[in-house]
Amino acid sequence: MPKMQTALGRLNSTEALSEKNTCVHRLHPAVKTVITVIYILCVISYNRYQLNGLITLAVLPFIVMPLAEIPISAIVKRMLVALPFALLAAISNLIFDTKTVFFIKGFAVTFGMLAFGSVIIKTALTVTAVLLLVSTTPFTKLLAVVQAVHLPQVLIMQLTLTQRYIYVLVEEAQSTYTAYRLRAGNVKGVQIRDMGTLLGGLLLRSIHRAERIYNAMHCRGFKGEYPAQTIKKVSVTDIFTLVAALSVLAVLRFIPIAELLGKVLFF
Amino acid sequence: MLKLEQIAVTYPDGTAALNNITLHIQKGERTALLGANGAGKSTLLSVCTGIIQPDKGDVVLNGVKLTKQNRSTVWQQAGVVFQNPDDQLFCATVQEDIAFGAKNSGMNEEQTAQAVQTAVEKLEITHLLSRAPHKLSGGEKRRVAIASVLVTHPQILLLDEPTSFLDPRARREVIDVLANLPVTQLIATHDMDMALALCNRVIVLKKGSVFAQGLAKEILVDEQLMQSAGLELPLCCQKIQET
Repeated sequence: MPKMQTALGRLNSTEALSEKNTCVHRLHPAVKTVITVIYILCVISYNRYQLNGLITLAVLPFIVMPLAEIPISAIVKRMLVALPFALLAAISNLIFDTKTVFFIKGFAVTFGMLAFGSVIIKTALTVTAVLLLVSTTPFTKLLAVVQAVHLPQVLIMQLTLTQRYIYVLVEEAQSTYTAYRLRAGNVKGVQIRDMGTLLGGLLLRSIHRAERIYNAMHCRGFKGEYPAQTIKKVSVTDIFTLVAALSVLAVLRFIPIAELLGKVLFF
Repeated sequence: MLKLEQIAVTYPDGTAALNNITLHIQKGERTALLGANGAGKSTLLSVCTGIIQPDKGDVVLNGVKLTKQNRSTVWQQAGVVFQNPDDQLFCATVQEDIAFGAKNSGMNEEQTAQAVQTAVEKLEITHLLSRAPHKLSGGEKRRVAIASVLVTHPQILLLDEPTSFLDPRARREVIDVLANLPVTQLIATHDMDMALALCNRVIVLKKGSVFAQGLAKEILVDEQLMQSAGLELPLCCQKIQET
């Protein structure tokens, strides 16, 4: 249960970060979303042995983070959650793809190592990009963007209600757990034999709450349609930023900057 | 304004929640609905709004009988403020929550914005508009919940325990807000002092039936009647008795 509190604390801190007022935060949410999506597409477009391009793209988050006043530690901590999954997915490359590509001071670098590094870097960069987006854009504004691109109403309603009620659910789970711990003696965590009762109780309470929320919605004229989120208009600065960011991405993606720099510096 | 004639409700397990309730609420009246836990206060409010369909009897709102066909339109005339504001405030921001009812009542963007502005100014919550409901204090949530209902200009407000879970200051604020609203109010509550301060009339329920009704200043000071209904005198009356 303390883990739930920690998770909620992280969610709260991400929300707090998204409410800052920096030049990145002030950008139109649609512009930030488009830039993030294109950035992710650029990252995943490299084949699994092309590490040099990925390294150039890794520069961008380090430019955005200080501009948006987002602490690197906040992003790294959240990114670490995703990395074990990437490690599991990438580890087989080290085992099966053993053909040597080149040697560094007698150490054989294999295709598997390149592919392993590629998966890890791609995961880190894509997760960082998404984390930067949610840390610089309030959830409601992101919802407005997905609503503007005509995502199904049901999905938008689900996302809104999930975000709204996750706090209430955690609070209820927390108080149930506290009540359990106070009468459970010296046991650690929740015992398996009590798990069903606790989860069942939580489920029943969730159902009752859902019923009350539905009644409240009906009492204010809900007919199945959730109101559209309001979104501000795109400004000239937003368009300029979008064009500039996409140009930088195009340069980084299509011009082999790392190779050119290498040639200039070492030959 | 609101008439309930011979209302009876029985829950699926056979428990009689309301027995032949007949009530008349006059326009402009502020009425307290009192009763011990399980007396049927919340069920009665749900019947008034069409959430629960009575097994017997009629609900007449502004001369129009509530039927299965028209009960989905009752919300425009009767605004319900639920006991727990977390049930009522389901949108991502306060502004959206308040605008929800206005948009559903057919107002256009401009009218909605105007209605939201009027409601938030009346409840002094303009500074909360961009906030997320889950980040508000109990008192703020309650005021937003009232604003979310007032935005459609209902002719009657049905409030379920409006002062529950509130600290003294927030409770006082809510009482002041309700005292200054020029709209008919039916308030289900356990807060006897609020009932005495706010309401001119009181209806006491006991085991699903009307046990007593009359002027607040007469009913609420009748110790024997209150005790028979499983209630207590307001604290101020208890103090007077002690001295």
